[in-house]
Amino acid sequence: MRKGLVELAVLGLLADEARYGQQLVDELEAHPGLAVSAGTVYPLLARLRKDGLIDASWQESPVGPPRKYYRLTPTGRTALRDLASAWRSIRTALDHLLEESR
Amino acid sequence: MITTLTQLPADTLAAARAWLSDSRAAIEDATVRADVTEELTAALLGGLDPDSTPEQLARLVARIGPVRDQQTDPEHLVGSIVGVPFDLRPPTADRIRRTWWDPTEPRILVPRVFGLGWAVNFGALAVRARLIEPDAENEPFADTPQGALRAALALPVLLTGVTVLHYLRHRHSLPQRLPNHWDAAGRPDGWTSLTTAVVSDIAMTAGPTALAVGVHLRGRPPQRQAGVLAAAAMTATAGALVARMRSAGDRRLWWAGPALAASMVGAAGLTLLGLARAGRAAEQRRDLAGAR
Repeated sequence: MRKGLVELAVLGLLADEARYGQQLVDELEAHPGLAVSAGTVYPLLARLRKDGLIDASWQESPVGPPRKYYRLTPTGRTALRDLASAWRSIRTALDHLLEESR
Repeated sequence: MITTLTQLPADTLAAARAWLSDSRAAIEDATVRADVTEELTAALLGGLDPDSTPEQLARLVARIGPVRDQQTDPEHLVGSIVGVPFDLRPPTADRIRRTWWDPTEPRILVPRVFGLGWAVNFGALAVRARLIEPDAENEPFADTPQGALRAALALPVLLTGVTVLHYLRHRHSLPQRLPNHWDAAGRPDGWTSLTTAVVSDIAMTAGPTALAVGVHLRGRPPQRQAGVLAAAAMTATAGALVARMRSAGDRRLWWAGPALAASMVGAAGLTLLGLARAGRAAEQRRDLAGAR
């Protein structure tokens, strides 16, 4: 279950702007609830790229050597939309259930 | 991406259910069966679309890999003994390459490709040493240019030449018996004939080197060449060093063990690192040129 959520988080972060690998790792690690490390993020990025949900391209960086930036593809945007709506339904259902069981 | 398998076309749905059912049957441990099945289903849902064909399913399933459990691997080819991993499946060039160079895997010691114990994941070592990024190459070595492959070939070829020259130069002055094994303190404790030593050292350097040259000349993909090149670098370094060590006769070589291990590991690691950085440079040239 957690793996699917990390995927959703990555796609969500890439929705508003392109990011490079370490940037994604840092932003995800900042959320203790996600419990994500570089060892999880990089293989995930490789898989998302192979599946055509994101693409990767090197860009010059003003602060040092070039960096590889990731961006959502149209397929990725669709996947994000579907995953996000699935997540919202689950969250609503669970919240409701937990309310009732109090 | 779909939320339930029933969104798939009928033939793909049937194939997906068959694969899940086979996978479930392969898991003997009932306590994990449900969890693993849920994971596999999630993997399918994440990787398929409402119009996915059975062929696309097959490709996805191939990437997920076979579901295998130690109890259902009757030949017991993969597993671990008191925590030490082993793998007895016949090694392939691809598996060797993926084991020795996986920068996305944080562990530096990983189960060895063939045999008992661990191998060094040079990719993880390079990332830890900040010599390369985990995602520097989309597909390790896929874009490594010919020039880099030729440069990597130069090392084992050179070391083979050095070894052959060494024996040619000293063939009249070397004794008929040469050390063949050294103990932990670096003292020779096993001997062999000059002929056996020469044949063995030249075979150790020339053999894998010839293989690497052959694979290169046949134009095999760079990913395939990378594993062979690293192996050739390792054995050629060992062979050349052993040839020198034998010349020391019965003198104690306290540096021998560590030097041998370090140079073998160093030769393979530097070969792979060089090839990966060349691949990264090629990707950068392609992407940055397009941006201008």
